[in-house]
Amino acid sequence: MKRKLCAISCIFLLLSGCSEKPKVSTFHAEEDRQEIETLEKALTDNKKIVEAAGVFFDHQLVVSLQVKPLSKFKKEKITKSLEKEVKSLFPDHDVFVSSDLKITWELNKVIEKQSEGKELKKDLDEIQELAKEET
Amino acid sequence: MDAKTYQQTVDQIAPKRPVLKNCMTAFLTGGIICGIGQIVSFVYMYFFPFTERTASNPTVSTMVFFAMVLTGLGVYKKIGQFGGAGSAVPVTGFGNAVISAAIEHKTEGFILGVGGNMFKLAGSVIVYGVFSAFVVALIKTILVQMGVISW
Repeated sequence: MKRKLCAISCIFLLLSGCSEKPKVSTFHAEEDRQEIETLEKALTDNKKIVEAAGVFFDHQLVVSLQVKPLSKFKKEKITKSLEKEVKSLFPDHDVFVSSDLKITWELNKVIEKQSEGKELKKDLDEIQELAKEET
Repeated sequence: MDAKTYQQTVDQIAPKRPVLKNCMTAFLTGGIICGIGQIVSFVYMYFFPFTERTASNPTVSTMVFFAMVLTGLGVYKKIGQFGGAGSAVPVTGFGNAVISAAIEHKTEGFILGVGGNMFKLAGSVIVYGVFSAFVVALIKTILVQMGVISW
């Protein structure tokens, strides 16, 4: 009985790891539903992504993504192609895309906090600075 | 008895090496060390302003430091006996090589003994490490130029 339960839970765990759609979380300071939906569609349509986050603030857009384990060899390429796609979708926005795990964590913290104004700008600037850090 | 028959006799008498078992223990030990390294890397990323790219430097230093402390306490010797290459190949093997040589030559004095022999084994790690890094970087540069992979 115990073995059966173990096997079934293992199968469930394995299958839940293979969920098709990526987990996407977004936040818009001006609550523009259309822009959020456009970004979410672009992110969920990408089959190489497992997790993504995006924050809009005053013509500034910060996006972070996590690629599937086997696509990690082409992480930079995927990031660049997504950056190109997002830039074409939002030509009037200053777009920043990163595939770093730390950036995803920080961006998710910003989305959870739902801060606005100067605080949000400060957080986003800090995230972009962090991504540029070389040492 | 010529060299060939001698070798055959030796092969018959000598106990067989448990190659599969050794591979398994090495895989397990190396995997656990790398798993600990991944946890250390996550700790640096979560609690400090390190990104995935920059967290590797402090992680390597921390793992070497852990290995040095464990070597001094005599624990790494036991891990090495169990895991073999699994404990020597990761960067922790470097810390072990430095400290074990230092302990071994302590009786010869701190300058000529510890100082002179500390990098006796680790020196070759540095030389071949730098050389292999150069070769790998060269191959990667060529592959990037050809457009097979990206940086």
